[in-house]
Amino acid sequence: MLDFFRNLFGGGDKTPKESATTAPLSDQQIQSIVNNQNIQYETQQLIAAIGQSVGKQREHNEDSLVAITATLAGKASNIPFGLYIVADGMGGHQFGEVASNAAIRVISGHVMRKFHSYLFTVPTQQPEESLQEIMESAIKESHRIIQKDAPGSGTTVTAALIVGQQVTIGHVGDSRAYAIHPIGRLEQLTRDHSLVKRLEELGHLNKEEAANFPHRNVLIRALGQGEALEVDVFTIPFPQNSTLMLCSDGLWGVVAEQDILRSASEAPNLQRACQNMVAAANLAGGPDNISVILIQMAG
Amino acid sequence: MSFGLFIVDAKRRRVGDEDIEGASIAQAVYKQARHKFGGALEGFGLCVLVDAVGAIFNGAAQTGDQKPFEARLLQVEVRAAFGARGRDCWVIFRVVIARHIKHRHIQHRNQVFKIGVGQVAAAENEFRVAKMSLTGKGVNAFHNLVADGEEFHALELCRRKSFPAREAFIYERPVVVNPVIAHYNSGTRGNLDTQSISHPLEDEPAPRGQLQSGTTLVKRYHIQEVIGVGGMGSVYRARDLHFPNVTKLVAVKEMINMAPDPLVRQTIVQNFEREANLLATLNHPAIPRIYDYFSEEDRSYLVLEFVHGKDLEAIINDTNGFLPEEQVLSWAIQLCDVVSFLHGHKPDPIIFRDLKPSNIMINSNGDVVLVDFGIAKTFQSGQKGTMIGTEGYSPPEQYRGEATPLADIYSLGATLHHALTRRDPRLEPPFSFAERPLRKINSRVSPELEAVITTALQYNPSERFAGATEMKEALMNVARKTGALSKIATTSIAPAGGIKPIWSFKCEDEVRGTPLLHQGILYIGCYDNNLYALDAADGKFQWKYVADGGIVSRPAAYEGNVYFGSEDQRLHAVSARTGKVVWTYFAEGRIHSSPRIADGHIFIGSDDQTLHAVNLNTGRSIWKFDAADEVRSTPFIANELIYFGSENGDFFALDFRGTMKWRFQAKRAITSSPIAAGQSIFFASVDSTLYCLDARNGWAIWRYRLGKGSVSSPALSDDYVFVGAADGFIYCVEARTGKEVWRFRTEHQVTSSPVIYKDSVYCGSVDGNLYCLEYRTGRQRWKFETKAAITGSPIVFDDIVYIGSTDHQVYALLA
Repeated sequence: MLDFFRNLFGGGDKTPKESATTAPLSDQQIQSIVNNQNIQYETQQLIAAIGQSVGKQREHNEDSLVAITATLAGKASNIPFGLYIVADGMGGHQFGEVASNAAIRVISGHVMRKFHSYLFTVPTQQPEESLQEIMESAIKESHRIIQKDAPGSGTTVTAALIVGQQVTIGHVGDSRAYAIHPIGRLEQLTRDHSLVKRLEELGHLNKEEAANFPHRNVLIRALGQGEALEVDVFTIPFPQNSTLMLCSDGLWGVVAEQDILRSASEAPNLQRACQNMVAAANLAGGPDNISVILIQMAG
Repeated sequence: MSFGLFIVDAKRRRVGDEDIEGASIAQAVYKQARHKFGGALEGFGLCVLVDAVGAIFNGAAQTGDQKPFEARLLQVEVRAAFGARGRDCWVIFRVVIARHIKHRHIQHRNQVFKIGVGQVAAAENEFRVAKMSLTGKGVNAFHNLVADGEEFHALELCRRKSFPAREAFIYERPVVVNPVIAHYNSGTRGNLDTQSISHPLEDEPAPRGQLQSGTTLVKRYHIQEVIGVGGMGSVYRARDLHFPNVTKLVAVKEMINMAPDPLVRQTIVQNFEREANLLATLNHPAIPRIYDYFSEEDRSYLVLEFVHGKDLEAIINDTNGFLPEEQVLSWAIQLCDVVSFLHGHKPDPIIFRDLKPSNIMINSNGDVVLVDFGIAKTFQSGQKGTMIGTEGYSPPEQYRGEATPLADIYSLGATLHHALTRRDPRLEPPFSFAERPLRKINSRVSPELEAVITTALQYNPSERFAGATEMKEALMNVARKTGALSKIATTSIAPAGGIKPIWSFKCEDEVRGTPLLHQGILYIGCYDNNLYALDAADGKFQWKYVADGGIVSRPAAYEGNVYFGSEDQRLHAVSARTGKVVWTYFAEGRIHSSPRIADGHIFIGSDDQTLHAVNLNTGRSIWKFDAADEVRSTPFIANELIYFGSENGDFFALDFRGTMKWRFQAKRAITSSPIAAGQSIFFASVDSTLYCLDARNGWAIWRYRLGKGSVSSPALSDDYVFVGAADGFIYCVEARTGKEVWRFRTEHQVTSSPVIYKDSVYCGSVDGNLYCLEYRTGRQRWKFETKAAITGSPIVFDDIVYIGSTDHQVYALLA
C-alpha cells in the first residue's frame, strides 16, 4: 500500500516519519474550523430562525411574526422563496396585538395567494405583478383590514419577500431590517418612521439627544393609522455571505449593536443566535416585546 | 476686499515693560480665548500666535514711536506663526489698514489686550516673515528670515529650524515672501511707518513674471489672460492649439519654484505632482478634469478643464440681497455629491479641506465645480495633519491638526451659511455660527434648511451628519418639503445665442441610427444606404461604405473592424480604417438591431425572428435562436447571459450556447434594448411599461407605468433609470424602488434613447430637438434644434455630443 503511494507521488523519501505527530486540536479549535467552513450546497436554500419573548416588563405580547421558507427543488429550476414579517403592535393603542396579528396574516395570505400558482400548481405561472407591487398591495390590504376590524389600533410592519436572489422589503414604522455582515458590521436597511428619527433628520436632535428623547416610541407612520398609507418598498440583492435580520424595537432599542453582532457571531447556528439576542434583550431589562428573525442563503 | 484678521492690539503696552513676557500674555489671551470659543483653540498654537503678534507690536514700539499707538486703523494680519515656547518664533504677517473691527478685551495683569476681527480696507500685497526671539524679556530682534522672493512652506521652515512640527505649528499656507515696504499715509491718526516694524528691506524687485498674453507653452497652450493669482503663481486661461478648428479653452495653473533650498524645492514639486496625480484619478462632473502637466525651467504647470463661470464668492458679493434658497439648495446637493464622491475615494478617502465659496465655481450650466485641490489630501484614519484651511470655514478640529471627512461637512455648512446670510465667516470669531442664526439674518430661509446647516456646523464632529450622503439626504428632504426641487426643475437657464454645432455633416437621406465613436472616427449609418466614417474632431469625410439598404443599426467596433446591420438583410464587417468589406453575413430578414460583441461572437437580431450568433473573425453562423417574432432590440450581455426582447413581447435570457435560461412576457413588443446593472435588468415596452427584472430568473422586481408605449432604451446612472416614451416625456425613475424622480416634457414622441454624460442626460425627440437636462432634477440646460425629427440616440465623448437627425445631418455639439 505504501509503495503504491510512493509510486503515485514520486519519491518515498518524502513520506513523513511515523514519529512525527501534530498537536491535537482542542474542541474549540475544531468547532471554529467547522463553523468557518463554507459548505457549498448544490441547491440554494434559505435557512431561517426566529426568536420571540414578551420581555420582562410587559404582560402582553403585542409583537407578531411570520417566517415562511419554501424550498421546492427538483429538475425544474430551483428558486429560493421566503416571506418573513415582523409586526410590532402599538402599545397605548387598543388591540396592539390584534393589529400586528392581522398584519402578518393578511400580508402573508395576500403574498402567498399571488405566488400560489407559481409554487403549488402545474404548469407554474409567474405572478403578473412585480415583486414590489405585490408587497405594496399586501401591506395596503392589511392596512384597510386593520382599519375596518380594529379601528384605532396600529402596528409597525417590516416584511422581506425573497424570490431568488432578490429581497423585496416592505416597511412601515420602526421595526427594522438589517444585514449582518460577516466582518462584524450591522447595516440598517430600513429607515424608521418615528418622530425621533424625523427630528434627527431635520437636525433638531443630535444622536445623543435622540438617544435620550422621551418619546422615542412615537411613530409617524403606522399600519392602521391615517388615511393614505405610504409604504417604503425597495428591492436589494440578498446581502452576500451575510445574514438578514428583521426585528422589533424590543431588540434594537435595547441591545447595543456590538452585542447583537456578538450574539450572531458566537452562536453555532441561527436558532441559537436568535435565542442569544432575545436573552440579551431580557438581560438588559426586557422593557418591551422582543421579536427577531434571522435568514441566511445557503449554497 | 476683506480678510479675516486675528489681531492682538497691545494698546496700553509700554516699552520695556518688564512684567510682560510673550508667553505669559499668550497664556492669558489663550485662556480668555478658550473661554470664549469653548476650548477650540487647543494647543500651543494660539499662544505662539498671540505671542508673536504681541511681539510685533512690542517691537514696533521699541524701534519706533514711544507712544502707545492707536491701533484702530493699522493692524497686522497674521497668516501663520510658529515657534516653540521660550525660543524663537516666526510670524508671517502683513500690515493692513482695517476698519469695522470688533474687539474683545482681554485683561492680563494690568494690561488690556484685544482680539479683533475686522475688514481690511487696504493691505500690503505680500506677506512677510519675521523672526523674533522670545527668550528673556520681550522681543529682541526681528530678522528677515526668508530670502527675498523665496517661496516656502511653513512646515519646511519649521523643519529647517528643527522644531517638532506637530507642536510648533498652527497654521500653514504656502506664502510667497516678497518684501514690500509700504508707507501708509492715510492722513488720519495712527499713521505708522511700517519700516519700524521690521528691518528695512530692499525695494521690491520687478514683479515676478506673469506670462504675457500670447505666450505659448510647450507649443500647445496659447495664454489668453490671467484668471487668478495664487500663492505660488498665476492661473491662466489658455487655448489648446491641438484643436485648431474649435476653440478649446483650458485653465493653466502655474507654480513658480524659486526656493533656493533643494529640500524645499523638492517638497514644492512633490506637492504639485501630488495635486496632479490626485486630480488625474478623479472622474466626476464637479471636479475639473486634468489634461496635462509639465515643467519648464522653474515653473510647473497643470492643464485643467476650463470652467466657464464665476466663483460662489463673487456670486454672493455681486448679488443684491440674498440668493434664493432653492438655488443654494441645489448647489448644496451637488456639493454633497462631489464631497461624498471624494470621501468615498478608494483606497483612502480624500478630504478637500478647504471648502469655501471662492473654491466653488458655478459654471455656465449653473452647476458647481470644485477648484483648487492644492491641499486636498487622502486621509488615513488616526492621522494627524497640519492645520491647513481657511479660518471661518474650517472646523475646530482642523485647528488641532485633524482632518477627517467631517471637517468638509463643517466647511460645507459654513459655506452655505455664508451664501444664505452674506455674512463672511472670516470676519467673525471662529465657530460663532450659533450666534448668527440663519433665519435671524435671512428670514426667507426655511426652518428645515436652517436645521440642516446647523447640524453640519456642530462644534463636535460626532454631532454633525455622519457623512456627505446623509447630509445630501437631509437636503433632499428639505427640497421635497419646501417644493424647491420642482422650482429648480422649472427654471431653465438657456445659454444666450443658442447652441452652435462644432461641425455638421450632410448625408443624402435621413439619419435614424446612433453613431459609434472609435479611435477618433465617428461611424454612422444612414437611410441613403451608406455607412459614413467622419473625423470626430472636424466632421471631415473619411470614407463611406455602400450597403443595399438603409442602416439604422448602431455600429460596433472590434480590432480594426466595424460591424453593423442593414435593411439589406446583412451584417457587414468592414475595415475601420479603409471602409473595405471584410465579410458579410446573410440573415433572412432586415436588420434593425445593433450588433453586440462578446467572447469572439457577434450577437444581433433580425426581422427573420431570429437572434444570430456569428463568429467575429469568419462571419459564419455559430447558432441561431428562434424568437418567434422580429428581434429589433439590441442584445445586452451580462452575467454570462444574453438578454433581448422581441416584437411579440417576449424577453429572453440565453446562455452563450444559445439555450434559453428564462423568458419573461410583456404585453406588447419589446423594441427597447435592455441594460443591466448588478442583479437587475431594465427595458421598456410598447405596453407602456418600464420593467425591472431579476437578471437571474426574470422575476419582475417593479414595473413603472409610462404615459404611452416606448421603444426607447433605458440608460442608467447612479441609482436612476432614464427612458423616453411616445407620450413625449423623458422619465427618470429610481432604480431600487421604481418610483418616479422627475419627468421632462418634449413636444413629440421620444424614441431616442437617453445618454448620460457627467451629470447631464442627452436625449433626442421627434420634435426635432436634442435636449440636455440636469440628470438629478430634469432641469433643461439647453436644447438644440434640428430641422426634422430625431429618432436616433446621441453619443457623448470628450465633452462633445454627436447626434444624427432625419434632416439628413449629423451634428457635433459641445456638451
